Amino acid sequence: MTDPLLSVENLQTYFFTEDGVVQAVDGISFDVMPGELVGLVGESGAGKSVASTSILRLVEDPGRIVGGRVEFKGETLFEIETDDEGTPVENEDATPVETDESLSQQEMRRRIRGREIAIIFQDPMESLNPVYTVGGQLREFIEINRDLGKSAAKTAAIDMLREVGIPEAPARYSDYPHQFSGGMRQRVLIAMALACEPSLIIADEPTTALDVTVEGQILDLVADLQEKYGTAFVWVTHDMGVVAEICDRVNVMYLGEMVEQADVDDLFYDTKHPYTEALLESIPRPDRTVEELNPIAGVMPEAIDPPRGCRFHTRCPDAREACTRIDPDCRVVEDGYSPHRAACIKYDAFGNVGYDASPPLDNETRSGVDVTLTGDGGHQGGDDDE
Amino acid sequence: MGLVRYTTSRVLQAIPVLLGVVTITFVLANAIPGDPVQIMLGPSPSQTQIEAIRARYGLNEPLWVRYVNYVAALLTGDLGQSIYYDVPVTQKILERLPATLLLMLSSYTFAILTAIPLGVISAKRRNKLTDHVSRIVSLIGVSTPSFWIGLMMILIFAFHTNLLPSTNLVMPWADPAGIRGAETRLDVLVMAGQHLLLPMVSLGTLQMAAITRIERSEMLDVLTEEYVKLARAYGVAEQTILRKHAFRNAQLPVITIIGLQLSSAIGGAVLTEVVFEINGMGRLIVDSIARQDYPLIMGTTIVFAFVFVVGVIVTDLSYAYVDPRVSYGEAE
Amino acid sequence: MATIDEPDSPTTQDAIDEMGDGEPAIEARVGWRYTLAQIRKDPTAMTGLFVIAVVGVLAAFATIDSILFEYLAQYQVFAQFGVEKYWIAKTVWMSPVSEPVGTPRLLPPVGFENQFGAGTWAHPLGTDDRGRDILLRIIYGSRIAVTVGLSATVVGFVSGTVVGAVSGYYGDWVDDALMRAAETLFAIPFLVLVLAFIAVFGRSLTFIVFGVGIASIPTFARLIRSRVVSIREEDYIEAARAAGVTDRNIIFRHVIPNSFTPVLVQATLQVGTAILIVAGLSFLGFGVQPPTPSWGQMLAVSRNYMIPNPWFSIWPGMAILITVVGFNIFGDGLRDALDPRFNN
Repeated sequence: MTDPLLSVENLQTYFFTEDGVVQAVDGISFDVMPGELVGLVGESGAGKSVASTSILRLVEDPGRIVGGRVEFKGETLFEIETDDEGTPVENEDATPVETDESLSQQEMRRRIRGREIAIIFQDPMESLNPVYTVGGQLREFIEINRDLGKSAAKTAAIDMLREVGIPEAPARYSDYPHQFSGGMRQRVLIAMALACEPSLIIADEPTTALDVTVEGQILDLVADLQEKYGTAFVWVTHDMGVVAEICDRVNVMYLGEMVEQADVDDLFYDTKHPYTEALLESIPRPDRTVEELNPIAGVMPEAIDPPRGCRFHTRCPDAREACTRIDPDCRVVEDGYSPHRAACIKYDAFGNVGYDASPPLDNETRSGVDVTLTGDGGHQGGDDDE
Repeated sequence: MGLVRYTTSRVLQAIPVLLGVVTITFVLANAIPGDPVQIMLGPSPSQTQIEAIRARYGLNEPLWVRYVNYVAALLTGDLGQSIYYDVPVTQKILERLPATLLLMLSSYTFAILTAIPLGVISAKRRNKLTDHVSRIVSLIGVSTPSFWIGLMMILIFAFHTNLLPSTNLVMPWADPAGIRGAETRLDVLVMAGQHLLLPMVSLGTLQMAAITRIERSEMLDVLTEEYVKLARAYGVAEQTILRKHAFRNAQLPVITIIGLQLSSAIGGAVLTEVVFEINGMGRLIVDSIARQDYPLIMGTTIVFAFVFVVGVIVTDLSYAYVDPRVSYGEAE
Repeated sequence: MATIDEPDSPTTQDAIDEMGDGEPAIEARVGWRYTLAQIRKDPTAMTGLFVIAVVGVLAAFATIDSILFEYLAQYQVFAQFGVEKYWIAKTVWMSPVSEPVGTPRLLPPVGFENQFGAGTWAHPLGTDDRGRDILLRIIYGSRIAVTVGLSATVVGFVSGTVVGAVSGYYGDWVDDALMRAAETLFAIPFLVLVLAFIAVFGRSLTFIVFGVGIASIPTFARLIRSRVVSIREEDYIEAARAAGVTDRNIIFRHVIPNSFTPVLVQATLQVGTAILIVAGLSFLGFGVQPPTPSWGQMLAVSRNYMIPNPWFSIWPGMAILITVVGFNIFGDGLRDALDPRFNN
């Protein structure tokens, strides 16, 4: 087995707001193999975007990475120091301490960002600077990350624009972003990411703001280019349809925690976690009527005040009394194409923690069940995790 | 639409505005209660005098004929005859305009050169000491009457320390032979600079403060934009982000404010000229009001409006230059 | 914002629409109670409110003691008690306008000394060129600043709101005509416009109020227009129209109340600006005439006495500065409270 390209271990990113601490990402772990397309799925507010910016260490105030470790190509990007019991060590200012192996912000900027790990943001309309030409922005990033001279970078930029399917690339090079359509701008952003020749691209809901036909074209394009360049992708999305279409492996997040990790086929055909099941149930499908559509009951609670025990128990159809007490980690529950992990105590992997013995929870004892929400979180283009 | 077409359309748009200004001024001037001739000539003028004046200023014509005549004359650069000075209004204004323009240009230069770095630094070090100081300074700057700043500077620099002159502005293009204590062009320039310093700061403080405030808040705003985050994610250095990726975008509202500030800058120039006894347009209009020299009041008002409109066009063009969306005729 | 009907002339025009707050989309997403709570939490805004309150109380007192008592003194009922202009000031201390007998002129404040003598607690801020107490004159001068500043703002606020609401609500040629007019009015620099106004109608305070007020109409009109244009399309306005509510009722009951908050912020800041303009006019000699005190006029007189007594120039300027700072920081605080997004 090869070593993972990216390995995230027990990552914790909290936001210290006036109203309290938001545990946006609370101890997630996942790996990305070289050349692999990995999905990171969840409803709005699950912490997907925060997780992806955390990997690049670009979390903005008042957010802070408070625990965990990210390794890339065997090198530690950062690691929060822990004591013997695994609790993060804090200094006098209550700021978590980074270990000595962690890269400095300077090194992150010079060696990792763009060069090794590139990112594509959700909103192509906002991601390009309106006062500079598209080509100029592309060229600048290529210059920085590939150490090319101006004219070589320009050639590379035009080549890449052509590659992502922008017609008349040399002419479009000197156009401004407002002269491009949304889909074309997203192609530019994909070109930007690929042109820097990184080993990993984090795509943060890159097709959410686009309409369905354009989304399809972009997905096809990514699939082709991914094959051609062998770049690994972390594809952040709330859309199980997209996941089914392009991902190799899937990580499902709920309220800052990882609930299920599996190969894409295992996930769809042998779903383990009730939340994933609910997500899949809520996808509109041609073979089912609207009445048969099964939205997940309730709304996701706030990450500022997560439910005790399993975080999903307030909406879970299978929840029992024991679920209010035990917060399960994500364990291997079955060996599929790759290890199939789930965070649900109804599986034997968790031993006998009292699930079978405890009584089922009825609706009254749960909170916030009065609103229903479809699986995609019902949003369009909104920012995820803030 | 290219920059040239944009310029043309912008200039064309200014024409109705200027015509409107002329109309407002004309209507106001003819709304004076009482007979303007009476006011011009003072108490008990002779009948022949009255007739002569009426004929001379065309006051026997109906109002709309006078309006058409006024506009027609204006197009040839004729703003009428000053009653007090008995010279063409245009001549008097051309005499006074350079001093006002010099004052305004220099104070604007001072304001922009200090405000932009101050605003950027303030945004960069948000909530640090530098930021607090610059915010307090700009708050005081927008809240202080410019003429009082002038008075205080005269007090400190002219009276108490005798460092800088406070009256008798020397124009940099004046003939050295006509200036006491000056022999060469250089002497004149140095003197002009010394004389200009206090009025420049006194007038420029308000604009500086206003621009600093907007610069800071716009920079803070732009720094949260998605494209700035993207640049960070691609390893662009923070300095470059500040200088290139955020700066140019933040300048757009700043440019607009700079243009609009012209209105208060012109008002400030009037007061500054009075404080520093500069013979410019501002003193001209104030004196004309005291002398009830209506043709001159109308003329100065129109020229001030003209200066403002030209200034706004210039800022709009620089805006279009900075923001490609404007000159391409697409406001997103 | 830029989707409004002027594809060819963005930049300044659009920006003016958005002006006054630097941010187009201020919205009262939250109620007044919340706004008040926010302001209470903001020490800077509270300082501003405190300054406004103090100046307001002083100005109210000065107005009662001068204008109201002068008016009441006409009636025997009051006159028999000795009610007259500056009654309180004269009873408690001295008249703010007439030259006192035997008081040294141009006295410095307490703790300083010049050729006219040393400062005394009898005149804590010193005396002016006629021996009148500077503190007293500053207190009575607040009347002009506050009343003229406030009423000019009200004039601009009310007429600007109506013009902007009508313009934005009806759109089309009404909008075009009114906005061109506003643009034209805006093209004449503020102070120059007021000066032209004074030149025509004379120096009476009433005309100064109207001059300053009218000069601020374009700012208010544009601000409210841009809000109205977006509100016009809202469902509840459509519903009201469909239900047969008259245009006038829609404008006054629905459109204006819902576009109010950014204008309120602008109005607060505008009071500061108006006070500065009024001070400038008084300084030029176009304000209230002596011996009635006003801050600008005190500064104008003090110019001739700066060498012996610089304090004569310093105090009135400080009074203007502090008052305007009060309005500005309160306005900033109000904006932050109304728009949580803009908490800089």
